[in-house]
Amino acid sequence: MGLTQDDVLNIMKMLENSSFNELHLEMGGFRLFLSKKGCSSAARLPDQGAGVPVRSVMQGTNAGNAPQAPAAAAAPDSAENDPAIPEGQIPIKSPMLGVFYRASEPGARPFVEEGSLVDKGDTLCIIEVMKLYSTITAEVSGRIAKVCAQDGQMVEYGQTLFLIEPGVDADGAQLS
Amino acid sequence: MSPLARVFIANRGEIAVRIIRACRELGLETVAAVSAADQDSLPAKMAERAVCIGPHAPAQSYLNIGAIVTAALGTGCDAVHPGYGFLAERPELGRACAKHGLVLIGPKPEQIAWMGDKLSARQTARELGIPLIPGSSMVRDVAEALSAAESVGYPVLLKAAAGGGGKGMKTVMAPENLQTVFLEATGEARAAFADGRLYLERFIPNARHIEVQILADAHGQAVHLFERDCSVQRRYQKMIEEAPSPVVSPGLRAEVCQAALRIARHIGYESAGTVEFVLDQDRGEFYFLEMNTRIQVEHPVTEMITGLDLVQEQIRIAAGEPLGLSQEQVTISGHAIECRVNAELAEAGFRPSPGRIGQWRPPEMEGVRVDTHCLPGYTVPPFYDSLLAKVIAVGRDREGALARMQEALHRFQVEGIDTTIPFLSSVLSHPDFLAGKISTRWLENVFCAGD
Repeated sequence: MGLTQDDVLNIMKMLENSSFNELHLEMGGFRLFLSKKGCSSAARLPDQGAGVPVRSVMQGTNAGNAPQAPAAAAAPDSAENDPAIPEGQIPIKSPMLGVFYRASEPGARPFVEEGSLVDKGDTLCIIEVMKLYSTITAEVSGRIAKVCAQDGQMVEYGQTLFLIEPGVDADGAQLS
Repeated sequence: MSPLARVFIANRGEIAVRIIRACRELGLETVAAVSAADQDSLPAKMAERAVCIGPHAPAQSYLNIGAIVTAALGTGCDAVHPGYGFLAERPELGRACAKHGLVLIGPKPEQIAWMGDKLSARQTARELGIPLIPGSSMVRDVAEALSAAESVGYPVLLKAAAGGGGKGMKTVMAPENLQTVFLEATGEARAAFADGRLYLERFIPNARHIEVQILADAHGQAVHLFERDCSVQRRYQKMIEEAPSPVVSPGLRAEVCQAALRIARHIGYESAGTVEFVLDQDRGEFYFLEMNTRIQVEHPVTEMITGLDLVQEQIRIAAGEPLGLSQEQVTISGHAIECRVNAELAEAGFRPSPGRIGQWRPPEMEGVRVDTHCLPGYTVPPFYDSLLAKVIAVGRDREGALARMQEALHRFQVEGIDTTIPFLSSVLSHPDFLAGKISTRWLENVFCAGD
């Protein structure tokens, strides 16, 4: 742990006297979440909770890049916590609960990056449910504005995976 | 086995709430599986976290083993509680859990499969010398059914080997009806269970449904928690349950409870379970019906008379703990009755009435417990069963419990949707019910017919 108990108490006092409601602090493997108004839903599960074995859903894949924290901590609470969608962008939502993979295999190049131009039907990612792999494809042509899910993490049904800015084709030309 | 820390709730509605409460009291964290239709439900709010496992259709959410196991692993759970219905009696869930290192809070897959097949369950009871309703083994076609019915004697009941909940179950009054009914029952069984195998039994006109609650641990210890009487049924769906039964004598009670324990011990059962019997009131004899390898809807009546928490016991057993009580420590204290409040309009043939609940005021009274997932403003989705709440009243004796239940139903205020509260209230005040002079056919043949 990177902080002593006194450090944490000091941070709590600082938050108490500040105008902020919440504080998230990450230092290496250490995470601290403070809130003035009780728990926020996304942070209620303690990462190190009660000696729960930390299971990686990525067993056997991507071993060099395994997540440090349990998947529970990183995945957003539910579809309703989706980030606000900027005008001119549309969300690509997960059609199922499963594990989100950005590449065809560990170490391979991701199918898309932020800024990538995709054609309708291009592969964007893979969702795995107990060794069953489903390919998620672009519903429209356009530019990937944002990758909203983390590689190797669980995504829920209806969770936004990508934001796509339609109307831009793979050659970068604006479609009329 | 290591103690459990975080439980994944693979169910919805009141039983999800019930399991979350039991987990909390044991100091366990919970993650609730929710379909897209249940994201704002009470279990979703009560659990430490809710995970949307799929769209509203049960096949893609609450029946989706892949999504449930993936979600349980992805949220760091070490155990899965399936509740009742949905995947509770599917051995595949236990197998998938075991494969991925998750503990299923329930019996072993092979025990579920053994008792889930009604023919193998009957065979086990027969080997143990437990009386069975005179009947056949599997009948493959109409000709076999005709000759089996001939030796059993009409009227007969055709039943699905994979059955439950009354599906694929039909009465045949005379040989000339058998062909039609056989084909109907086969079709229904195939549609409901993907298994059209049938067998037949003698039809018992004056029957009561008596079931024995048992608890058995992984160390070979088993106890019974006495019986429940669930004879107020409509189309094989239970509506009112009570414990103890008003018609079971101490001698008969000892016999059925021991029979239930013999079955549980014989199959090495581990968990909470229920062995169901039919009591033929004309002959004073009981027969083995089936075993339910799950926690049951009506488990609270047993809790109220024994003071035990069945869901907590179930979790402790799954964690490998030995039963903390001996048979002598399980005693009956008082009488308990449960009414199932459904979102249905009884006058319109129990038409389901989903929709938005306006006012929702369950009774708050001493000796009355309400298990529910409903709140004011909650919308009852049309995709699942219609159970809104279970009202459980306990009294020093049956009269005391009944009086409390009447008052509780009277105080229960629901606006916005139709419920079975008025219907339940009128059943409770019927002289036949008050006198305990009913059978499993009474509600449909006497009470509803007499209106």
